[in-house]
Amino acid sequence: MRLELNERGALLLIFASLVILFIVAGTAALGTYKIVTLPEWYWPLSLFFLTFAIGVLAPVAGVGGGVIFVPLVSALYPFHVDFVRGTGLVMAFTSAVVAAPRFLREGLASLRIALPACAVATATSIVGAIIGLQITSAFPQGKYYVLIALGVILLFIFFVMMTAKRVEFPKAKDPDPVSRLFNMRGEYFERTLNTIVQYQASRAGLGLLAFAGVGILAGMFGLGAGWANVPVLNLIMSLPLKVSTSTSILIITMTDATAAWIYIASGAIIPLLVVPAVFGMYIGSKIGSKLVLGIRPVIVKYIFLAIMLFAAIMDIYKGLHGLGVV
Amino acid sequence: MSAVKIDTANKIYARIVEIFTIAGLVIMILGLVLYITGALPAYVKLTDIVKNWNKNTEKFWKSVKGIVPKDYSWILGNLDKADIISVLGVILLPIGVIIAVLCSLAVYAKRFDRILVMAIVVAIIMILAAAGPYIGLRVHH
Repeated sequence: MRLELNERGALLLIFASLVILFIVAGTAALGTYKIVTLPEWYWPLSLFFLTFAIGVLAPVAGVGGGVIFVPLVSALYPFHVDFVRGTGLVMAFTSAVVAAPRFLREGLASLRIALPACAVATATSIVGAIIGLQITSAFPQGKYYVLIALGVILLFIFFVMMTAKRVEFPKAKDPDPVSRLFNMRGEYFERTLNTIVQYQASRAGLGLLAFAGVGILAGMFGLGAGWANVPVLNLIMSLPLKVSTSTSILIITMTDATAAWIYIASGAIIPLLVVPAVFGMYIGSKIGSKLVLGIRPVIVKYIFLAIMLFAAIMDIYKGLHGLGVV
Repeated sequence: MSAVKIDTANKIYARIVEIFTIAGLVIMILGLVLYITGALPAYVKLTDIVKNWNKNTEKFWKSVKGIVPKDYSWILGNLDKADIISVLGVILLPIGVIIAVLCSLAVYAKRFDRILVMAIVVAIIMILAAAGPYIGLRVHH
């Protein structure tokens, strides 16, 4: 009974955060398209409410939240995209550093799995950045084709995860040599089942290869890639879904700590925008990281899939827009 | 619940990240309060921000301060300004993660754990990224 109540409460909070998201984004749209006149103070203040709503959803789905924040704020707010991305990065980073300690203490996230993934992804993101620059200079429209391809891949992963059985608790396979080498395992208490779930990564070598690909794409587009971590951890490395989303958050703490410096040095961090966004995210993700513990893994799956579908559509749209098709 | 075993390195990482996050958030909000109330002088005026926030970073900074930031000198040279205090709060977040990785690295080194190699790689990449503006390295993710 207690479980039902907890989950009902969690679902109610998730629904409330979606309502806030729609109200804030809708009001911003009215202001941007001059249907109503909004005062200048509205914009930084509304960032607080927007990021609060994103903060509730992001830790549940294992993403930093930039995947929702950047397209919404770029389209609906008067700030230049440079500041949107700077604010989005600090906001996503805050979401991760607030949620990760709880996940680590609960056993849902593990440094033994996050460190190799992060080492590979950040190293290859440098290669990706170089490739991205070369594509831009040799074939200016190439990035848009890659972006469309990325959206299609995301859609494919979306359908695979949607239809795959046992995504919440993938069937345990024998650990491969890489998993055994780094002892990539752990355990956590699954409250909804009242049992300790033990896990160990399998196909970790293949998983790290996939993280290398994620790093290249992330570096090429200068984007965070929380949405990509989860399918690699869950579908390839056969980790339980909650472990995958939580470890994804832990990976984001490290990748964003690496990426933040360039935004700080180039002056893309303006406190007037960043501080309200960070505080909204702080409160939201404190709530979101608690929700993860009390809801069934299948709900985590649906929230993650919804965000993934949104990311796929946005990537395809951005690619087509860049090519002048839409 | 108490039967779940958590690695010491995970616990240390969690604690350090938590401490730096709280410190960073307190400093960020303190800076913003001092900025909005005018209790401390501002590096960039509030009105200038609103007027120029639709420009890219280069044009924004040229318009408001006549500079193009490329490293941390614009922060380090203005530590007595309210808005820069907030930026210092932001900087504490990645510093916390770097220190947390270094501490977990120390735990792994003490017990000759093979994951140490990966912790060293991550620590090196993070430190290089932080030093990026001075060594010509720009890490995106």
